[in-house]
Amino acid sequence: MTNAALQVDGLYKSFAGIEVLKGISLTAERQDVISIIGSSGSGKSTLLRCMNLLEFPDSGRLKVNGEELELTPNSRGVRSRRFQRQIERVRSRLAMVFQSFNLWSHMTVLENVMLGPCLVLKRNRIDVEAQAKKLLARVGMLEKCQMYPDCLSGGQKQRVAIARALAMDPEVMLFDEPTSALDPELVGEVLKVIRELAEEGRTMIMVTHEMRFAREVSSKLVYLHQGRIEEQGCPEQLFNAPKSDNLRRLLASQY
Amino acid sequence: MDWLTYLSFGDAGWGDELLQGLGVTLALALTTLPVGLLLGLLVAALAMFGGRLARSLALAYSTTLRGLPELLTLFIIYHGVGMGLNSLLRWYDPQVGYFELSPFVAGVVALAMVFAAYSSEVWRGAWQALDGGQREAGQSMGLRRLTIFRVIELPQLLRLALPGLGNLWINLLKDTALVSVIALSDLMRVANIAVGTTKKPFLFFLVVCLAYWGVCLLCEFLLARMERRANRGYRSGGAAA
Repeated sequence: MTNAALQVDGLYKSFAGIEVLKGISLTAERQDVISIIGSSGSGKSTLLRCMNLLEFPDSGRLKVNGEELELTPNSRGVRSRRFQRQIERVRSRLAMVFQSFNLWSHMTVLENVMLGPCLVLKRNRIDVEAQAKKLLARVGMLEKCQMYPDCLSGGQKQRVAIARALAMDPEVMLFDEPTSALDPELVGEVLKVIRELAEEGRTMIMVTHEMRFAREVSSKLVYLHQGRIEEQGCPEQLFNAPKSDNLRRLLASQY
Repeated sequence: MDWLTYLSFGDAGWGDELLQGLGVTLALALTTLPVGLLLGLLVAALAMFGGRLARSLALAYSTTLRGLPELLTLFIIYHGVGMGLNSLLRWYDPQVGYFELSPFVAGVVALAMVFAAYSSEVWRGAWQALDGGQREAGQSMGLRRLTIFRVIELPQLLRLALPGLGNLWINLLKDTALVSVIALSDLMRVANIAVGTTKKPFLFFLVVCLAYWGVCLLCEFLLARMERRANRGYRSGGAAA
């Protein structure tokens, strides 16, 4: 238990007095593929964003690869330098793929993939470039490596974003609705890449509306409802015999 | 004397003086630009990310400086700040001599303050147009805040701010003419003196007119090139995606 890839314990978060997360506890063991499902407004994305502290939780514990972050209430306001460095270190272990890609628009595809390893991991440029090209080849984007993001389709952008995340060689990959901004015919190419990552044993946590996909690739499914985990377990169990009425309704409407 | 003699170099003509004046004008504008740009960026940053006090100070700064005639700002800096400095110096050491604020420094300070006030609004607009996801992608990778600003935000800010800043730069080039009233020998003042001496206003003002216009044309050409370079990779002139 102590060496889980990522462990969240009793996470609370509210925005302007409205409680969005009401005590979430979740553990990702190594090689886990966890899909977080739930209707919109259930707190899925907020939970994911709390994991790498893009949102700062009000309280709770967060442990990445055995390293615990001190999320005391006063660490929200004045953050010590040491704490800021710890946040940066933890973030560099948890690569995130966004719904809206967020590729840096003034950099080429190759530069996008190379930036993190060069500036965060401080690795040698020549090695980084070789590795970046390998990753781009993997997601089928090598021939576009000198293009700018604005010239790519949504699916291509998201594949580059995945390569960019992979370049950090992260402990855990966080996917925030990676296919929700894509045209239906482009969803497949992105899911294919994610599926390959799952099969090679990457630890991943994914917020998704792709129920069929979640069922196929996940080792664990988490159903979030109104800021609480209402049900979790292996996909078959949740899909075939959901205990929660809310989950049953959600599945009936989407699947 | 024919017009070539008036414009010749040497004792008889005004050619060398006019060229020196142009040099002063360009030196003034080029010195003002980096100071004004940085100060403007700072004011914009305070206005957007500062605490309540910093925000109201930044707002007061840009509202005041944009509300005053630039000539008045120049007088306040040249005479007011000069006097203030001198009384401060005498209070510290009564034996000290009179300190003269150089017109060039006064000109740079005044023009930079005005440029900062206007450019802070351009920076602010560019910052608001910047997509927050660009920053978040950097944060999520563990980049430091300052690195994110340097390698991700600033290049995109420059792209978005370039048209507005270019406009202000062209304006600044011509606003330098104001310093002729505090006895700085810029292009405008030299021309004025030449007209006073030779009684040939059309000739000298035409030359000055062509000089300002030529410099502005050159700048517009350079700015267009910079914009094309900044926009490479973007399909349209739209906001960052």
